[in-house]
Amino acid sequence: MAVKELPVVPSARPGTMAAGAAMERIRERRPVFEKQKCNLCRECLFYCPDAALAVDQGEVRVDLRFCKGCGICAVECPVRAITMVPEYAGNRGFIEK
Amino acid sequence: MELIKTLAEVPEDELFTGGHGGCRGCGAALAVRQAMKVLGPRTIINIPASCMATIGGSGLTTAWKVPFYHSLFECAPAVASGIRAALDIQGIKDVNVVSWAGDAGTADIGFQSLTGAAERQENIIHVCYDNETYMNTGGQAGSVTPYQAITPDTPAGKPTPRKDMLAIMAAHHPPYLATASVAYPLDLMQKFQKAMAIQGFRYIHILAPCFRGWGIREDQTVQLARMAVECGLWQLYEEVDGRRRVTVVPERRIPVREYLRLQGRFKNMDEAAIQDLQDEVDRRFREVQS
Ligand SMILES: Cc1ncc(C[n+]2csc(CCOP(=O)(O)OP(=O)(O)O)c2C)c(N)n1
Ligand code: SF4
Ligand code: SF4
Ligand code: SF4
Ligand SMILES: [Mg+2]
Repeated sequence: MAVKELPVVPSARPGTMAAGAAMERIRERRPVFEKQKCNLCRECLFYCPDAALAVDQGEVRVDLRFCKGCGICAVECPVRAITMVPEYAGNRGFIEK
Repeated sequence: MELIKTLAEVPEDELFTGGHGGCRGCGAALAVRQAMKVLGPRTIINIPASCMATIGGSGLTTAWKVPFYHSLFECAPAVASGIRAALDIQGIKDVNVVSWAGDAGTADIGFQSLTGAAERQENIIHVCYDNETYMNTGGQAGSVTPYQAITPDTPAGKPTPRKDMLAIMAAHHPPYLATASVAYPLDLMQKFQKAMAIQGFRYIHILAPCFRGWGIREDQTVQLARMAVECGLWQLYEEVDGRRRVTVVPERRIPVREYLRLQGRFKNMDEAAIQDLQDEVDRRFREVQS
């Protein structure tokens, strides 16, 4: 019998790390976008090592389950539309959701 | 074959998902993400011991959405050859078989199986993601670690220059060979498209900085990858049947000093050594660009 479909990783379900991602546990900064400056060039999407950025309804959005706060997107954005802001705010260091 | 011309044309699917275990700003994970965009779902990937073999998960959870096999260190290209043979015998033709290894898995510990697979003209793509050290075990020096780089086992700087892996692989006369960089995603993705359209042994060597090993900030991964191209140390080209074509001519040329001085690992390098390297880079730049 011909094998029609390739076997997927037999032990772990494909992409399961995405489902359990919770990078707020390690993130110290997060990117904030200035919509007026952004020209939707998409460069930041291709420089994010964590697949955290996407264009959604005409603007770049960050998926905070994935973003580790490395800041590469902010350094690389050609029009400086991205700023990294501290994740912990206030004197008790709450995580802002 | 239609080459991707703009980033807007690239598929949105993430076949190596977020939530993986790489450090912040990991150049290795970035290289995989960019390549998987074009390799697509009909791909089987085989990675030997390295950061990339571990950060995509264990047997229980995985960031991969394609079949992924974590091989022993010495044998990714041999395992990939076996996977190809198994597909061939089943008549399955439309699958990319990729062995994807670090610089150690390519140039050092994995080298015997790599040269074997290249010589046998196996129908696989071998990718070297090069962070110029053995990062998964703490950043030890290997044969492609640059001259004078400080690592845990070369605390005064590496006494010998980097081995020329591209020349070694070119000596196997593969039908396709290319250099790539995570700072030039469009160029990288086009090279994977071209490699996929060719049969036989294909070799792609990606410079993928690691902030820990290089002594840079985590947000400088892409910047340093770009500066390596701009200073001429890492030239972007491809060779189809041995005919070389430069694919990216940097918009500006910078002195190697600018690139080296941003990295903690080169802090021992003196001006005379930098000038020697500059002369070597200039000579090599003229040779490749002409
Ligand atoms: C035969 C063998 N020797 C040593 C090791 C330990 N080891 C695991 S990963 C690694 C270094 C990998 O370096 P590289 O291929 O450059 O990938 P990186 O971790 O830098 O991404 C070493 C020495 C091993 N797993 N197997
Ligand atoms: S890199 Fe900057 S301008 Fe380009 S899409 Fe991202 S935020 Fe917008
Ligand atoms: S900060 Fe880093 S992880 Fe977060 S979106 Fe930007 S590039 Fe991606
Ligand atoms: S040590 Fe370097 S290559 Fe390894 S996961 Fe961290 S950033 Fe990536
Ligand atoms: Mg390495």
